[in-house]
Amino acid sequence: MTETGLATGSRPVQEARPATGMRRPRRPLGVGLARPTVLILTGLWVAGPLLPLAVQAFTDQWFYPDLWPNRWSLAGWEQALGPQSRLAEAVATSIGIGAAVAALATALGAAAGRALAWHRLPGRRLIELVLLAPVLVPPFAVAMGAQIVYLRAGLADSLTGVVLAQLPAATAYATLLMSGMWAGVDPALERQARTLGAGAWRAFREVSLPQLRGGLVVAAMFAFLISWSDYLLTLLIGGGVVTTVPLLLFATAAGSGNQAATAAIALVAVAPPLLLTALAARQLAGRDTALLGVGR
Amino acid sequence: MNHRRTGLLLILPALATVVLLFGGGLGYGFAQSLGLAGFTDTPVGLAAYQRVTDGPAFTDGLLLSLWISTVATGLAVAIGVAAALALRHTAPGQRAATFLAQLGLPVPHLIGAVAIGLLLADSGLLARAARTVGVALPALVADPHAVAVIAEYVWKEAPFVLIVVLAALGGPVAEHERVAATLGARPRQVLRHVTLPLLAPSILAVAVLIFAFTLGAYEVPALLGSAYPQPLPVLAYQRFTAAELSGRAEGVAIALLIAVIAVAAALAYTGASRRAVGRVTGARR
Repeated sequence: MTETGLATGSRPVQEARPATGMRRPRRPLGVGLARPTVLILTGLWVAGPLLPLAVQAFTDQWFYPDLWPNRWSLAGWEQALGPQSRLAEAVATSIGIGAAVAALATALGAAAGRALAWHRLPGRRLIELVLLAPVLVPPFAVAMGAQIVYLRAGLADSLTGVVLAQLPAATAYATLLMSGMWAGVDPALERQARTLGAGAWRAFREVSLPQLRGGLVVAAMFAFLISWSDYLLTLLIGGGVVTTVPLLLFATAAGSGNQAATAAIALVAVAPPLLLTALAARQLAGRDTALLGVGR
Repeated sequence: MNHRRTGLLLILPALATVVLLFGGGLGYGFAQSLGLAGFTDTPVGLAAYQRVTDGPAFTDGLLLSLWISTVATGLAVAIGVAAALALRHTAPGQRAATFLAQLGLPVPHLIGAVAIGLLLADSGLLARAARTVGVALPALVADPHAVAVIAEYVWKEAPFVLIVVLAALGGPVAEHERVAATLGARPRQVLRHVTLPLLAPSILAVAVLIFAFTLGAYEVPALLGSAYPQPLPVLAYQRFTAAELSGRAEGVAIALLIAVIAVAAALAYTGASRRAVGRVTGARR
């Protein structure tokens, strides 16, 4: 399964660069489309479905078949942020769970990534396969089986339980990402530091860590986003007691019929992913972001 | 420093997390589906699997799940690859497109489902727009063909394909293409016999990830799907949370069947990607 490396970054893939100087006489099919058109289409594609949310959140009267709302209102926000909706609480819960998952998964992934990139491991294929399993097997198959164990251990309906349930997938992604990052760090540098008398920890902290900083940020961000997006694991293990933003959003979307409040909550839920990605865009090579695509 | 033991010690925490928390749940779920463990009144054996696969709800759900995943994967790959090929020769275009596509990737599917719902519902924007030009649209949300579910998956995953294919195009693809062109291949032939086969491993990898994910995803069909037939994840959740005890074993059984299909697709891909590259470069990776 190492071939999935192409999509996951465990094998370094060169970033796409234009062939300078060499222009091929005839371009292959598909280039016939004007490029600005493709670019505009990409923008419309990504933003198109999200923009109506932004309109919907600020109106309470947008009757069919009007193409534009005939009254603006903050009623949706009042409902979403009001005392009954528990949105602020849900945001805090989501951030808390996400931070815990991010910290744990990044630490585990950084250690495992170093082992995968630098060390000889017995049964490497098997280890890689095991680490890839959470990427391929639908996580709820696991959560359904594990729910009883969480119940018996007293971890069901608790924040700890939800963190533990979300951790394997986040760890798998963090490991895949960090093994790619470690592969770009030269092991000889740490050896030199050791030769000069530094201990193992100090050699890591002062030699490799500075080079890994960007990778660690990206890994933590991915782990956080995996946690932030999760719905079903939180529902199954959290039992509806642990209310995160996705749970609130689903309940409002499916149960309330209040489209303005639904849109308002959706905007709150979509802001952190967009902000984090935009801020980290410079850190992200195409291959790294590819991970986000499956980072539920 | 490259001692095996250090390596094992470093990888052990992550491995243990996945094996215990993931593999443990999977194994315990398997035991439950066989009536060997858990709160269940299911007799030991394959009874839960028989009950689950018996009847039209499972067959219809399986067919719907396969339909959704196949169509969504096919469309997302076609659109993503076409966009990548159209953008490949412009550096600024690529950067801008990659940035835009990157922004879409981390949007949770649930939000995508809410947004697509607002867009495609009977009173959604699309229906309003269609009405102003005098067209009446059929139902797109909660319809038997799961149009809205597929639309959400394609919307979310096509940018993912675009990014992966753009990254793969930076590899040795251009060189092989030049060789083929020098040898007199027409653009169409280059695309058909060189570019696409060389991209095949990336495309297939992405396709498998999308297929496996859409097969097991719950919230999008739960929000945008119809009441019947229900795709397998929704069916599994309903059985699992049903009032009767036997439902738990049945729910886990359906979930495990989904996992088997997803893993089988991944294994099929491993073989296919090796063959595809071998055909062009003559090398087996």
